[in-house]
Amino acid sequence: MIWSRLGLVSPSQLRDKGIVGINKRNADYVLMHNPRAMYPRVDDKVLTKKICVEHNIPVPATYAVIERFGDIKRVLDLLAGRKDFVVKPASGAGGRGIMVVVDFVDNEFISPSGKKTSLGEFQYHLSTILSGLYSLGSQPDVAILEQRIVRHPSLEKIAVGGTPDVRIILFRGVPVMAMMRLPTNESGGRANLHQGAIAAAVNLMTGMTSGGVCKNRAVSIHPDTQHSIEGFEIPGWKTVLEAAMRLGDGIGMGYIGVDFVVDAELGPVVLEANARPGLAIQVANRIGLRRRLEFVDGLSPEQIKPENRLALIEKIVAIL
Amino acid sequence: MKHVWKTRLVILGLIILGAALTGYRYSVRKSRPLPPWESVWKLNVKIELGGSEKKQKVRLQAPKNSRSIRVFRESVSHPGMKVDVSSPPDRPREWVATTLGKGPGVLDVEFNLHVSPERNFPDRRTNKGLKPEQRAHFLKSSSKFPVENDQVLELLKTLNEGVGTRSKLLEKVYDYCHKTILTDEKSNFNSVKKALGNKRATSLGCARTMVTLCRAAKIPSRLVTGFEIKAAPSPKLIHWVQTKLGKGWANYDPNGGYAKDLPANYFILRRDGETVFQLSGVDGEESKTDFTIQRANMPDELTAAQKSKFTDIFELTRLPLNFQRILALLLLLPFGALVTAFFRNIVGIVTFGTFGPTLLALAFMYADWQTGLVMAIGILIVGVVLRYLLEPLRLLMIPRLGVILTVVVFCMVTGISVLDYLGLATEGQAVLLPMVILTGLIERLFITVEEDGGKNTLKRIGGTLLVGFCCFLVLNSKSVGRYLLIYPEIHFGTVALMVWVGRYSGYRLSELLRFKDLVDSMPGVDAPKPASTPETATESRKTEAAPEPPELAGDGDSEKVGGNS
Repeated sequence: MIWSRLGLVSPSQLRDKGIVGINKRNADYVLMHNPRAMYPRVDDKVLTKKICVEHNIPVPATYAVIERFGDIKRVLDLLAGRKDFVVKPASGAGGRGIMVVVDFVDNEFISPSGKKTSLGEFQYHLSTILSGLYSLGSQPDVAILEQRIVRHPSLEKIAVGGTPDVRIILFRGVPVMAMMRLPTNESGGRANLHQGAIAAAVNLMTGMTSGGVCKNRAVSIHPDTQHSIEGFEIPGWKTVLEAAMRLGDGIGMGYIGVDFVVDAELGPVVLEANARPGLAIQVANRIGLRRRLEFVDGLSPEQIKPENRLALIEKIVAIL
Repeated sequence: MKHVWKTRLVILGLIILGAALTGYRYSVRKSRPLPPWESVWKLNVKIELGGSEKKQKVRLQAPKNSRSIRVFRESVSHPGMKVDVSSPPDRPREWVATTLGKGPGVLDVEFNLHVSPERNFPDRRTNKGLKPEQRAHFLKSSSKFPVENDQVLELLKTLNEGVGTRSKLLEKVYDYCHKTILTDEKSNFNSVKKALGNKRATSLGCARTMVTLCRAAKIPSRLVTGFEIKAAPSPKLIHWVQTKLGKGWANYDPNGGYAKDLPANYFILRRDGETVFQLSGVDGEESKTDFTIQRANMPDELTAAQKSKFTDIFELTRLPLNFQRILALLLLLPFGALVTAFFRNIVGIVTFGTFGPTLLALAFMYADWQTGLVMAIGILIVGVVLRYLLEPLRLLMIPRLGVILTVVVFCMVTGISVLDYLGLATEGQAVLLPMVILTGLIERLFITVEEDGGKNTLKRIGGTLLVGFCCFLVLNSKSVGRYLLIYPEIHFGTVALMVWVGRYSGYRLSELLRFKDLVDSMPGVDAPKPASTPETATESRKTEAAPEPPELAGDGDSEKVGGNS
């Protein structure tokens, strides 16, 4: 076989395993099922949050939205004495431009790791967000000041430096695959896979994790805590599933990824939705997406009504 | 499935449309009038032979195309004669006409010539070196070319003083024949001796002198005879010299004063000879030669075409030449885009920006690519260093880019000035475009280094350069650009290919590596599921994992890149 001699896998093997490539994801799912007009609903987190609230989906509380450079001066007034919050660009991607603050002492903001930021630097950070440094296509953006998520205590053993998130991929409103992303020291506390975070498969039926992957290598123990990442149950899994499905309908796109984090008090909350969810979820689950997507594609609109979906998940999980 | 057919239909439609339009234009072009600087001529060479007791024979060499004159039709009429065509190897094709019996005969050959100073007609000159016997032939001494003559040898000795190479000597010989020997057709000095003695000669004498001097200097040379293709009541034969030093025959006309580059309308009828016809057994008194050169009637469309028509809009070759160059380059850009699409969507190579590579290639077009590459890399390095210096200032994006742009402008200006100082030619006109690209590239480079690390940056730089170089190879093909200018509808096919790439949903080549470990770790037919695999087994996989794990979120897979790549 020429492919294996080149150290590659053959296209037919990938097809046999039902793995979806980037071109197929874009051509057959993203471009076919996600109308362009709907993109602002996922690309603009202010809008996503609004939809979540309308559909009764828990999200971190919004303290303020800074839309004008003039508001930056008044940022302390807008915070109204809150010392524990997160700043994020509304159209940011990949965690860029996000700043976490746990305290405000002597005109200095303090990050969870103890790093101090002066008020002036903080205001500069807000202005870079507004000028579009972190946004898609460098478009002018707005900054969201919102409630800081406190990691659910049960997650401490398998996440270091940050909050793990749960990604669910929905196709036509039906959850088809899920994974949990666990920050490591290498990833700098970010749940970003190509920076070294761990991805673990999540069973859609039970919300239980299994076999993890870190930078394409199989791992079953968190490298920093030495705790097993398998067999871990995500708190409030049923809530997660139902919220994801409601959001999928609210956004009106056929193929999306929904990201959750589990807060110590609020439970699972939606952080964002994504119109081009990545393919690494297949690596985490060691299952190709294609057969599941084709199964859902073959269902009638009647069959994928919200009340029928939970029953469908059972069938989907059985598809390997 | 319906969608697949829609795409196929579009692709098929575009290909058919492109082919039909190209075909239509091709057929129109064939009957299209010539551009104003081109012309069509008829050259008639005719010999009438009187009656004779002996068999009379006339030979006529078939002319070859020159760089700017093409023979597109030959017609021979030969009342009273029998004509054979002989084409011996290594010798020019010839017509051999023999009289039938004693009677008079006529050989009349008409050549239809297409004169075009612009284009290079296929050059059928052989670039092979001379065979020893050919070399000896073109160095031979004869009564017309008295190579061993003392006067000749002495003159050559003076000319050769302080001259090192044969090509320099050739220049001096040419200068001597052109400047020192005056051309005077009335002098009747046809021989070399008379020409050297009087410093005056007919054009034939002058050409003979140059051949003789060349041969004496051991430079193979020959005398050629032909016409200047122009309207004249009685065209005169002209003679000039061809020498062979290295590749091909070089032309020298000491009478007209042309060295190497001849006027476009010089046309050779006889190589290595002074007359058009070679006669044997012919009584000179009884034969009569006649030459006519006439501009041929232009096709009827010409008059119509001189009025500008609406359809001329679709004829890009009518535009001024400097326009055409730019348009040809513009028309090549879609190919650059196609190359980029191929590399990104089918191979899976990551690049900076969507059309970064194409534009980078464009930047290289204005200098040679080495200069372009050196300049681009130099400016990128300066820019990125500057970007690091700017970082602590925490400038807002647009003023920051403005500072970088200013420095890039300075670099370009200085670079061009330096290139000019070093005597390397550049065209300053089109540096604007590369400049803006480089500014954007510097910012992207900086952000990639900061956010994705050096390894990813190098990967992207490598990808951009590779794709850029492939684009450059495409953009740099001048003949392709010329064809596109004539047949811009070829791009219907390009669009068809882009649509095909655009709906290509197969795996990228890079994914065959990316998902390799996944496939290897996936449960086979009988293998246990990964969830039930014991921990030790999963751990042991570490050792056999690929040494370089492919990045998980590659180019098109990054979730919010503002496009579907």
